[in-house]
Amino acid sequence: MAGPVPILFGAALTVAVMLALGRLVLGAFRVPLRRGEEWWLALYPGAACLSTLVFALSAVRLARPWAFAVLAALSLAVAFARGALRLSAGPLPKYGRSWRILFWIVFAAFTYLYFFNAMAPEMSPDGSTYHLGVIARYLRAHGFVRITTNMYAHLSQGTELLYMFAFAFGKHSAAALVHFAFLASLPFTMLSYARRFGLPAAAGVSGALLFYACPIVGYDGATAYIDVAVAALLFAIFYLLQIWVEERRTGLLVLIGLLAGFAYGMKYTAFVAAPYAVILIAWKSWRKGQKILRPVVLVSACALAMMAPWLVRNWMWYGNPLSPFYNKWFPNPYVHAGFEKDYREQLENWNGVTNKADIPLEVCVRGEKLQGVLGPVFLLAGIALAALRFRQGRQLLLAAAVFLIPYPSNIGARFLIPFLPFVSLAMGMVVANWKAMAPLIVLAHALSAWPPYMTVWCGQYAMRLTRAPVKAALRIEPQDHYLMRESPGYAVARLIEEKVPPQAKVLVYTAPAEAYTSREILVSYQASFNNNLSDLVWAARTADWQPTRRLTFRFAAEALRRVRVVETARHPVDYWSISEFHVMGAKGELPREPQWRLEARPNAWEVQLAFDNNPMTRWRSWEPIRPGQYVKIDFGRPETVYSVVLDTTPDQWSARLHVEGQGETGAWHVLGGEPEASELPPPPAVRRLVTRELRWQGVEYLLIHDFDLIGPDLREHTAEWGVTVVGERGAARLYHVE
Amino acid sequence: MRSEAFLFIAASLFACACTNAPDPFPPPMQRPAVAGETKPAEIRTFLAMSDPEAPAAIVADVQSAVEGTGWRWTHQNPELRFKLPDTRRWKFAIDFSLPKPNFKDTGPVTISYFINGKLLDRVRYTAPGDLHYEKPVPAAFLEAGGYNQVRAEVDPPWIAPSDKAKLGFVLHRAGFIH
Repeated sequence: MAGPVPILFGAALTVAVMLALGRLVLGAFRVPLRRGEEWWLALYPGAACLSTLVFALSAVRLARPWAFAVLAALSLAVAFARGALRLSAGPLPKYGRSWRILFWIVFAAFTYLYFFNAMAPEMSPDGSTYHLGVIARYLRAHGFVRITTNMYAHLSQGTELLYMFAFAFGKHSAAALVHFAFLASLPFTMLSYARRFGLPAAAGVSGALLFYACPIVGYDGATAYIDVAVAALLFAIFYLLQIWVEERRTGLLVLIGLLAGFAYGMKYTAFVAAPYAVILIAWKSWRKGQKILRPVVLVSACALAMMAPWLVRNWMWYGNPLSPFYNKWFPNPYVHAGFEKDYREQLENWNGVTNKADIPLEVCVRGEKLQGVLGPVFLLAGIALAALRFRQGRQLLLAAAVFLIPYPSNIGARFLIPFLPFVSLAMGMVVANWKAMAPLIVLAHALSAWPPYMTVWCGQYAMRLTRAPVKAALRIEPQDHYLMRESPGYAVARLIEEKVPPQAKVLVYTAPAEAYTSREILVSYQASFNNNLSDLVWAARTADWQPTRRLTFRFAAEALRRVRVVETARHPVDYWSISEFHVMGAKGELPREPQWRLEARPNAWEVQLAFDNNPMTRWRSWEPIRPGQYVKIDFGRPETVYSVVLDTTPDQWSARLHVEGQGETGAWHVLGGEPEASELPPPPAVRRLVTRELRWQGVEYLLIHDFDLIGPDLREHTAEWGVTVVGERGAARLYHVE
Repeated sequence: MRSEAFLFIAASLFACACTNAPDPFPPPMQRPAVAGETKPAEIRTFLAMSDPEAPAAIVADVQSAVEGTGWRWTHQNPELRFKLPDTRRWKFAIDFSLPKPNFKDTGPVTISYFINGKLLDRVRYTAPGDLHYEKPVPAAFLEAGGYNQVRAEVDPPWIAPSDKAKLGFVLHRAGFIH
């Protein structure tokens, strides 16, 4: 547990190194910046540099505090020695006093709220689970770890590597404070942009404050999420592109390309930055009659260089450069293609929001279903279109439209954050024409976004900041005490840390705050391995998932080298599966010989589950049923086969199968006709079959909540399951599998 | 020639990308059979609709298909049966849902609960959503050791426009608890 000094030190050092590296990079590329904007824009190349250096250290297992300290000292020393920290010559135009006062009042109020929330013990749902959980694991291993049981570890982690640098000194809250630094700097970057490109004070200040006081922006930026940092980077790329349009310096192109690639490295959904930059540069070059190919190739190559480490890592470790997505294009044993399809559908229709017309009201006012709220003022976002009459308005709205492109893939409110700086400034440009209305709108937005007033208009369970926890932030209230009270996930994580030995694995259905335990947590949906185990446990209490249906394929006995069961039907949703695959000879079932070779398409990696003699495990297609899918045995020599018997589950209503055989030579041919279907009694001792398989797969502990599907049964039948309760915390029980 | 070479390399890389299937596998280690459960659950007094024992407890008007996370539709007069070891201190409990779209058509719904044919309670539900009901059952209503019938009457049921089927509610769990 870190105290306030290490927390502030970790965060401050990270920001200082980013700024120092950023100033060095800006100097090296001779980016023509003015006083007032050079520091705000230095943050982003600095972040890209630091993240890349931490990547390199992690790749060679040097992710250690002393290595980070050396890196920091060198960066600061070189920046100082080269004079990179000096101020540039020409300042930007200043805004009027009244607008500056308005800005500072609102900015100070919300900074107070955000800073103390960021410094308070981190307990955000994603921050305390995977964003920080994965980097904590990297730090324990002093570098990257190949994590096959958590798909979130496969995402690009450019932002998390910045958090890792801070975490090494100040733990969780230092990481959250780094995100806060991006949050607090972005309004100044927006103001610098507005001042450089001649936007009136009313437009710049209104736009910056509409963004900064937005509740979901504050919540996200005050935790170890990453969306605000991504939004800040995208705005910086836009800003630099606008400078390039005026200045046309080659150094800017390199910088823009590197940052566009880094955007992908920070978050997959920011991939649009690269095509946006390339197309804009090509268009502007063409309009001026300049050569197109050279700048396009330069920007693309730089972007690709920054994306490549993540693509290569995923290709080498997970067999899919884009993991955990596009698993149908790049099949692999770690993420099921079928799971991905369901997961994407869930993200596209969060909490049943299938009617897209509901989104504006949900994200602007209600905030419960889409996990956060922008504020009612954004119901007026349409007025931003009036900014189309200004050149910079058109540029802002183009960028807003581009960064909105990934939104339908995840309709959560925070996925709108990258779009908000642009639309806020465009709204600011429009309200700037309404004289006194501009400050009134800003103040109304700020007041409505202040926590006590939010309860008046937003949903009770909307994700938002509710107060500034000053005592917890300063650790006057101990971190453990605060988190035990406020975060059920933390309490469960500490239970696991206390009761589970190192190296043991824990299967869970509800993710605890993984960042606070060093034990390996298998969250039910986060990888193929976990999917299979969690389905297995559920199957003990789900009749349709038990092998109670037997299909017998009878045919004239024949000497066969290979036999396969082939799917002939098609269905958009259903999967098919085989619990046990029996091949019958003259004297009963043929024993499964070591020379047999088993294959399946799709989901080749799990074919052994149909041949393991455990009726509760099953090979599943994990893709919708379609003709041609198969499970195949090569006996290694001719075997006389009399029939094929499949034990299957009743939950595959659409499956239609036939059996094909192949002799030592010759073609595949269909054996017999339709199978005979009969009923099997449920396997005896299903609970024991399940827990024994868990042990077989190396899982020794189950963490189950009362509200989990299996919770009541485990509680009532511990002996039948072969488990013992080793600890309880709230609604969670930790079971040891005997 | 250079463009052909480029195309060949690109096509090879693309082909490699999509064919990372593994080699065939040998049969895995065979799991030994497991003897019967150490203590079979002989009497289940409270059941989720996804439980393997659920079909045996369903007497009438509950659909055989398990849906979603383990619930079943009922018709107008769903009936279940449960064995109880004794008759003392039991409460009847049920978790169910009245779906919003159906509720829009039916309006408030009254459900009458009968235990072994005797009226336990009649409740009017004026809002849709996930609902829980429980009430102590007089010992005189129950039979020790034998089956106890639980029936609900739904008024009005929701009538499906397509096949005119009369649907009652979405049943998650029901039975007797202490």
